[in-house]
Amino acid sequence: MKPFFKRRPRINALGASAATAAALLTVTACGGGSGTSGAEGETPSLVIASWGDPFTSATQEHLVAPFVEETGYDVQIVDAPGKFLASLESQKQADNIEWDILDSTSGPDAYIAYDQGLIERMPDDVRDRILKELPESAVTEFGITWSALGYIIACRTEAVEKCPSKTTEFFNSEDFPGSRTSIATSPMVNLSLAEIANGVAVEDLATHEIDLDRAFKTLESIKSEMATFWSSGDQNMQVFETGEADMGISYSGRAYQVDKQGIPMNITWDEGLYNPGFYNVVKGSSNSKEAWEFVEWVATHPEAQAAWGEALGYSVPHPEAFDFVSAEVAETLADFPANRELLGLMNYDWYVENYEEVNTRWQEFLRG
Amino acid sequence: MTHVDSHPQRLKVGRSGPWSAALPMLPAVFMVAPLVIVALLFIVYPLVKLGIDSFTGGSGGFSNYSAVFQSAAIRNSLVSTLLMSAVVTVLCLLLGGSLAWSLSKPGNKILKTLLWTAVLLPFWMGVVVKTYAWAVLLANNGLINSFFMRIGLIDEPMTLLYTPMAVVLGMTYTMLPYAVLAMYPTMAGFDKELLNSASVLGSSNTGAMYRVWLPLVRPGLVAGGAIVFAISIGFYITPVLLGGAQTPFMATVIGDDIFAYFNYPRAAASSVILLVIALTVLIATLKTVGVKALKGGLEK
Repeated sequence: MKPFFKRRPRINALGASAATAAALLTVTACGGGSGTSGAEGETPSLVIASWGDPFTSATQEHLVAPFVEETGYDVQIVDAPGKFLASLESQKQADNIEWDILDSTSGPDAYIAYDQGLIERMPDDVRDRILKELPESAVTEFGITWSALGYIIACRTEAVEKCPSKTTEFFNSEDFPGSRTSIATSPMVNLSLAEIANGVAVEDLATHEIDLDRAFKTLESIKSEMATFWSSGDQNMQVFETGEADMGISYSGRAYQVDKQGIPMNITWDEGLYNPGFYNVVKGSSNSKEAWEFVEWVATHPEAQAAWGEALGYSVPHPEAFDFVSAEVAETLADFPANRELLGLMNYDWYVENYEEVNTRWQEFLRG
Repeated sequence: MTHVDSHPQRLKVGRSGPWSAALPMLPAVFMVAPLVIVALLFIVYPLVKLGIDSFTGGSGGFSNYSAVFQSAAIRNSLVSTLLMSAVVTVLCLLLGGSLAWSLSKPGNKILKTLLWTAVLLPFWMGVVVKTYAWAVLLANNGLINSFFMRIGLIDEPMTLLYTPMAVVLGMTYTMLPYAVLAMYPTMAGFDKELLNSASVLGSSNTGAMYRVWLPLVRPGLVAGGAIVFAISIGFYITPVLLGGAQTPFMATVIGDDIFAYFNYPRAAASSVILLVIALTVLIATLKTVGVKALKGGLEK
């Protein structure tokens, strides 16, 4: 079977006309988004697609504002939470690329966007300069890692007698009884963690080809304990707050937030997953040089990264950033060395190849 | 004024006869044109394009439709969407029917105002607010479970949230005003003396309701049911927030296809299927009870 994304999906009319309408509005209201290129004597303007508050305001305050001060560029942020790829497809179909930069594209989305030719390859000179500051693991062909988080096992200590201390124990519902929850929108997270429970070593995960039958069988074995599957960060917290789930696969940041709100949580990074987001430059951006300039600026300013990370509780890639973060925040971040060394990586290349089968089977597991 | 007075002959060339609300052809066309253009551009065009996309996207032809029906997840979602919407429709007819009947009868002004407010209040609230209110009620540590645990009826919280039942409750609450407003005109138009006549002629109370009342208010019930059902099958936020991702519902599946799996052609096919079902229900209703009964509900 041919994976779906190899074909160029057609965009529906609504998306395309909405994109056109939005483009018209942008042009009339602001005198040109990315449409005005950085020609002689004109201020280059950049449009960053982001996730909405509190994300957007942290990016504005800690990254965009100092960058604008330095360069004098005109930078706007638009909110398109969870809709990067869908919107990029419609902008491409309408032949009207409005965005220049993607802020924190989720891991799987970034790999698929690159495979589909929606985002740019990083120019070699930019890459060389960035690699002087960031570790190699934080730089890919198409961007830098950003706002990394962990998929970890969180557990309400007041709800159960003993909390799982690692992923393998989470999948053992006999010895660790309690209602459970997990993420609905990422089959790869569920399958990768199930494979860890099946004995795949954390450090091998990045290259491991998932045995779908075995992994789904493992997931099936705890399905009756699953109170619900969450599909947004809010819901991730809500299922713990309302008592629907005693334990679950959770975003690390959200689990700490629940704890901070007064519900004691046991949070274990052991056998969890490292999930980086990415800064990317949109293919077809008319200001791609300036866009990479921004990405490079972000990559090479550890203090700004630290302020951004501390404001949101998401991790940042620069090793020196941790010098500027307080100790108690640092140990809640995925790039904190003691956490990072416990986490495995998902095999994105395998996912891109097996995209259609994985998603079909996941949907059937979830709702079949 | 003086302008008109100074040219009295102008009045004569104007329209003759009594004043009429009907506009002459040309101004009428001009005045309606913006609405028609907007409707064509933003309703007709996207829908036609959606239909075309569902046949030309992906591998084309009926392949997107067979992809929909080959997927056990989508088949299951379609069935449970129709089932849940049917339950919501029945509940809305029962509850909404009694409400509409009570509101149509003469009675205490204050009581009726309160009743109208109660019916219309959910109409004015955002759907997210309404849905979260239900989440607060139904959660494990929510109001309902705390109450039953306090009075000792149960020891452990019942699982209420993230179940199909929670979705049905939330949807019924949202759709109730539509049902009441759709049925109110027929209920109000029903001559209550007919029930007295029936009982004078020897009919029992239930017999009078069944043989006299029901046939006369039937168009209102059918129209109300059709509107509730057609809107229900398209619900999105309520199934996500109250049912969780594992409760199968069509709009959730379509949303996943667009935003998570980037499968626009299959999303288009699923949307067309929902659209056809909704249209079939509405057209069948139109055929059985006529356009008037249906409009009675929609106009309010």
